[in-house]
Amino acid sequence: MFKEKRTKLQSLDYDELTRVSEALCHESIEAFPIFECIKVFAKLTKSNTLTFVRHPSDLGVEHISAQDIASRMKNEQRSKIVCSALNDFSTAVIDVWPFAPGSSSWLQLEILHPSIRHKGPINRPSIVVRKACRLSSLKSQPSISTSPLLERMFRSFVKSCPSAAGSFEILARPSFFLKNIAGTGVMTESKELLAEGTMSQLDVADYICQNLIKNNNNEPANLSPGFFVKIEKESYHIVTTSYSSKLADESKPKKLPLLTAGWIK
Amino acid sequence: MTDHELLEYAIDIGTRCEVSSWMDLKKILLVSLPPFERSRFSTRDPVTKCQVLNQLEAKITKGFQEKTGIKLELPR
Repeated sequence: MFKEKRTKLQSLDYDELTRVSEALCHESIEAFPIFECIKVFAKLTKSNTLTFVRHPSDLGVEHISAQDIASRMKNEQRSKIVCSALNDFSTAVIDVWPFAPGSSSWLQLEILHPSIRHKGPINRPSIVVRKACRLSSLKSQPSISTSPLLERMFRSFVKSCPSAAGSFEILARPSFFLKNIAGTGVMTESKELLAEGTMSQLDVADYICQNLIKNNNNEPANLSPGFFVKIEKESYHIVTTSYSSKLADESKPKKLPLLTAGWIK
Repeated sequence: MTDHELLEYAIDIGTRCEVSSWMDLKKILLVSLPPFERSRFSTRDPVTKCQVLNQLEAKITKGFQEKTGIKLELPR
């Protein structure tokens, strides 16, 4: 799967954590909500039809239809949802596609549905058009990259993008501005806790994330996939450990005890 | 893509992205067009590094001005 590198607050050192969390709490930075979704990339081919990819290995294939990409999913219900979402999206958006047919630029789509859910809030059926990007399957390069020029073209597309595709709502570049939570004491308390050393740095970072999500998203922090922000070209993911660690645990196959055989004298 | 189709596309994308100079429009076109179409655009002079418009590019700038009324700023 194509993944973007985002730094979590929990992995920052003391100075970085203070600098970034101050910006998050006191400056009204633009933030982008993260959803539990199925991510698909779409591109307009020379024949004026959309092709879709999900994995780097898909890039070598000239055309992958909505049916093809959906049929690869094990869950039949999700497969049907993805297929109908992509078909509806194709018919709704093809006339206002921001790039010429055959261009190598892609749009990142995220399909949301009540049945596409792990532990976060229940989403309405929608298609999030996240951004325009270039994709690469080379290990030496970032797999998803964008440029100011691509962003500029994408912004022009956002203005002309229809609001719905069939039964799916289209959300083009969803974002919000962080609330200034100066005065809530989050930063002061965090700094004190760090100075006292009563709480580990990871727990302090988690405490900051909890407060940021609670104040900005109005949802329980341990059930929220959070949001991401860009500060000085670096992308930061604001999420609590309780949410992300359970996700990681569940995705790992359960280890069975090792079989042992031998002689005991 | 014929020259006419390319011009229509340039006008569409150029007005949507609110371009004011030829270099702006050229960069946007190069990002959004497939590789074969990209090869029809000029490259910089290898020695002087100056941008010199080819026939197609001159046609696009002229057509853009006629259709939109916007005179694109050309490179020196």
